[in-house]
Amino acid sequence: MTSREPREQGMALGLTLFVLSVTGVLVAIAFAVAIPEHRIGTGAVWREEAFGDAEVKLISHLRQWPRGTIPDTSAVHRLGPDLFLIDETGMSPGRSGGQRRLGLLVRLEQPALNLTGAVATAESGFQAGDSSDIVPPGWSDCTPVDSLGVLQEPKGAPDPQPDPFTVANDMDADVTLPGGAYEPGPVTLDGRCDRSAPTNWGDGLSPLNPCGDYRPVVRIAGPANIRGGQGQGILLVEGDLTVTGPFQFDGIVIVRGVLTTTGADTLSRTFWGGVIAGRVQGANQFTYSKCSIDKALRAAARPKPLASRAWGELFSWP
Amino acid sequence: MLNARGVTMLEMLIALTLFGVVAPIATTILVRTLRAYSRQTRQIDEQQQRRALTTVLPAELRALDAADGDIGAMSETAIDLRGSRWLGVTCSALTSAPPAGDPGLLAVTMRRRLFFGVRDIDAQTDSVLIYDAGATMGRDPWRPGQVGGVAPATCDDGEPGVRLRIAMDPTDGRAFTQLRRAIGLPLRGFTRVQYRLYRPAGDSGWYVGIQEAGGGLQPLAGPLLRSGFELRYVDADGIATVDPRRVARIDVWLRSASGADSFRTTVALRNNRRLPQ
Repeated sequence: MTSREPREQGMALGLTLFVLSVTGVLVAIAFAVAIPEHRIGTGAVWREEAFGDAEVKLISHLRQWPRGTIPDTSAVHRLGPDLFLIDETGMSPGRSGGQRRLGLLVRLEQPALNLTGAVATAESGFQAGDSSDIVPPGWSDCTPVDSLGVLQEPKGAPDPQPDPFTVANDMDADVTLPGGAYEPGPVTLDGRCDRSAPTNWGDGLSPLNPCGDYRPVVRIAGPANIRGGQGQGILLVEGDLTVTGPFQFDGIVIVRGVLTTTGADTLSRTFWGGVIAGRVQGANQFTYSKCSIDKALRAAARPKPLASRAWGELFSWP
Repeated sequence: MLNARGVTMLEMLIALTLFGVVAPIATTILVRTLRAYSRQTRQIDEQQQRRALTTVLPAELRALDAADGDIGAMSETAIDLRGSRWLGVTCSALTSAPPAGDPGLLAVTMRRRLFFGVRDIDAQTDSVLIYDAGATMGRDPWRPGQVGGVAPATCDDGEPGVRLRIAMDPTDGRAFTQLRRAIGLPLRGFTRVQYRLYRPAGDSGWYVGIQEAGGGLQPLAGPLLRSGFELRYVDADGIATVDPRRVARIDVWLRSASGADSFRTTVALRNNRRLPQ
């Protein structure tokens, strides 16, 4: 004789368990698929953030490029004398997941000033004057002079395009001063050249001194009176320039108005390099120096992206 | 002890009623879960394809110099362009004359360390543009050539390099007087590439395909709506243009076949010639 326990179990529990199991499996699969997808999507966002970061870094490099020099950083590859590749890797903020590497081809561009003589005036159509190339006294690192100290054949008028005053307007100045009276000279601080001093225009008389390699672009936004002193680089005067005391400037002087010398011993007002002015009067001593001009232009050079095809995303291959 | 007690009608009715309530709920949950799963899978698939397109195409468009002829042909659903593939820098000066009988041939060596690319150089399909650093200041001409051969080489300073034989315009005397002497000139490598909306034979869906020079059309994203891929070209003034050389910006629309996913991106061309400085 057998006895059987009654089966009081219904279907609801089994069905519920079945549905829960199936749902659980599907949810698990969905999660398994969605999590990597979410990660990929997040990665894409990080990549875009890194792209923006890399572009910002490229622009920062351009803006912070020290004038006339080459930044000491592994992010800048020197390709040629004046040609560089800025190579920047952007990162997603606060995360290591996103990286983009961008490059920018830049060229150090000097102001487009074509000075082939000691002085050129608007009055004479910017015809170059005396073009005997002479190295300033005490300067030892100049390339051979054009003319070996002998008056050369006039090299003709500078390229009339672009207008030197327009070039001067577009130039970024290291020192900007209002019109007024000045007596510039080198300023040192703790044995180093103090480039923050507005009347420190470099030291062309003593190239080996701390300010001997400082050649600022100085812009005076009005008529100026220089009572004496010295400077080098590029001097831009928006009005007339009057020199009333012993003064030497090495480099390029551009005076929109009239350059005048007054007072005794006017021959002690010496300009080595090239002068462009609306008009010149007085007994200034202008000496053409290609070395002075080249150094001033090189010091004023700014990095600029190539006019076309400067930008590129850099991929490592292989 | 045999329990002979059976199921009463009332118990059965209650059980059936409960089942009748639970079963539809369970079925509904199951069906909805399956539908959600299916929908999510489809969305993920569409997103992956969209991501593939939105990664590849904007990167391609950004590198264009439309003013220099990088866009060959363009329409609302297709664009033919000169796609940037690599960037290199010369590392050896060549002073020898071009080989006799092949006056347009220029050989340059590129530094491997400064070679960047999405792929290696393809001697069959790649064209090049070489930067002429000796050009007048303010003008940056890139001189065109066609890659004719690639071989390992060594730079002047002993670093590993790669030698390219490049067919230049033989009448371009400057290419040989300037470029052969110079070290540190950038070279950019290109291939012709086309992106377009198409419908594969036997398929009801529309796709965006990519076709590189010498290759076949490969699907990049889809299925899409018939109007699921749209390109709009805008000049520097923000005005729509049909002149490939005036394009400064390209807007890209993408709409999935399900209509659930659409996407628009705007790409500014980074390499267009800048205004005179």
